[in-house]
Amino acid sequence: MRNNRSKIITILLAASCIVIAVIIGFLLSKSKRNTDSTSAGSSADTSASSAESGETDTDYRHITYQGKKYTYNSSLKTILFLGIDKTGNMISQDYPGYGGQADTILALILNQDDRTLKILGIPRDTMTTIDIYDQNNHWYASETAQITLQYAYGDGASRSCWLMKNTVSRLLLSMPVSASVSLNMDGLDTIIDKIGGVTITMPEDYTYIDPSYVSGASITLGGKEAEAFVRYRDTSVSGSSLPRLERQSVFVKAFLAQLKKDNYSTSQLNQMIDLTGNYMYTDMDAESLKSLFSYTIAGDVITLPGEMTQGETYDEYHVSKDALQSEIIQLFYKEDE
Amino acid sequence: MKSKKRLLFWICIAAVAVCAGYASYYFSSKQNNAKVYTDMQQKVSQSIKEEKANPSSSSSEESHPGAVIPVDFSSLQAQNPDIYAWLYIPGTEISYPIVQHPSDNTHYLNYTIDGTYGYPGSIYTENYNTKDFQDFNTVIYGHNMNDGSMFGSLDEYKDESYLQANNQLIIYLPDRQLTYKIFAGVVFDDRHLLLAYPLNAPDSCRSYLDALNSVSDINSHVDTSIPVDEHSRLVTLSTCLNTKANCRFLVTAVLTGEEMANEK
Repeated sequence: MRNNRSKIITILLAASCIVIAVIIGFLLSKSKRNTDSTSAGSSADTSASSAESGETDTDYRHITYQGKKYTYNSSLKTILFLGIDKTGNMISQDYPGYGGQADTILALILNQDDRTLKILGIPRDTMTTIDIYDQNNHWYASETAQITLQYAYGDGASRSCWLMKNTVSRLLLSMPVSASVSLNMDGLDTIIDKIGGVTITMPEDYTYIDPSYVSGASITLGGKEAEAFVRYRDTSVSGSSLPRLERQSVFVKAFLAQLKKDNYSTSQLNQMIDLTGNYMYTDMDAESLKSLFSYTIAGDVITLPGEMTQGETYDEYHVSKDALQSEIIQLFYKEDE
Repeated sequence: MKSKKRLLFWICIAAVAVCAGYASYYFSSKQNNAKVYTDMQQKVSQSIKEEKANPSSSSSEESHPGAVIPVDFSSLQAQNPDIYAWLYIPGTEISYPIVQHPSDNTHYLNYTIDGTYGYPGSIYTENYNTKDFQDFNTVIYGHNMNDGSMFGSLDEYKDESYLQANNQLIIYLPDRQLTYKIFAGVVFDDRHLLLAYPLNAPDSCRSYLDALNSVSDINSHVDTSIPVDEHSRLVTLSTCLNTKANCRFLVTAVLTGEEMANEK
């Protein structure tokens, strides 16, 4: 009896403590949300440096588009693949603006659920807001320019990649870009030779590069041939970077397929990373690279919707806003049920 | 031992009671605070309805052209002399008096229109702005309430199709009606707009418009089909984003019409 009663009291005590905790927690969360929703800018920071806001990080997870609710597909992970038009050591000792240009810009959209990968090709001449930095890496200005130039305002490696991730994320209406791989021409040569070449079935006639590259031909490219294949461009022809982007996409598809087939071990990949040391930069470890190669490429390469025009001196690729938005909804979102 | 436990027991009971009491106070006070607006809104929407149902009341008489102001400013100003305009966005929940405190710009962030402290606060401007909406940009602030009141429903403008379908905005002043078109719903940083784009600087309007246009974000849209330039007169509704403390959601509209009130 005595025992029972003290048990009941203990239970009651515990129960009331839980109730108190719940109520306090609820009130705290409520008041927290309310301070968050405090409006207005009366006391706000007046000089917030504007443009260095690559990571606006607004609520992209839940959105409304044309009256319908969508949720960001959380099994996605976006990796930026960059091909840099430079040879030699990637780390640049030069002035800002000379860190090399990103001639190949591919967003690899990985679906970690079904292990498929979609490739979004971003034309190098895409006009977008880029952040310009001075010699001390201080933000200097934001300007509308060809996205390829953004890479040049970094150190040619980690900082350049970070800038590109921010700029591409902003271009893709604030979709997160979580990692990057950047490779320059020497890096490409080295890797391709190391893996014994990449076999490509020519999807169309490329005899303007090599007479043997007829449509349908299956050809194994070594390092030097691969470089010519992804690099060739008649700069006297306006808009010639677009067919090249297509070719680069063909190449990257074949390259990834080859890596998947060869099924390298983590230590082999580490060796390759060492071998290309100065010609490659990535913020992924060998394990994540290996997992990247296990993906199956789904569908054709998608090109960022827009239109190529000829600027005063250089080509300009202007993004079509509406088409981009609907493309992003298709690629990154699921409609709520 | 036993009495200690009993004491603890009663302390817990008391604490629960206090918490429950506070919770109910918190919610009822918030609801009471908001009630002052619902009463005013009902009167205004009633007048708007009547005017719609019977527009001939005066405007058809050639001798009395002009806008019908559905707001009884003299009775509102008797309640609070800081009330100087009424904001109305057809098709939305937004229909509120606008206040400006003569000296304390943060006052109405925390006080409702009847002087009660706490949420939901007021819809207000700061004294950087004149009260005649002649500035190139008049910034109107309001809380993003979770129940959708005050500026809580501005979140809808993150959808471009909603923005285009609900782009009319009206400001009633005692002597005139100003009609605006909403052209932008943009996620912006929390810089103070009227200090970052000063009203007296010649290129402020251009830089403000450029800044709105340069935002690239899935929740931000600018309707470029609506003509706006550096000579435009704008109003910007500013509210918080519940998801991100250092960002604001801005809904910006451009003046398209100005009509004097008819003399009753």
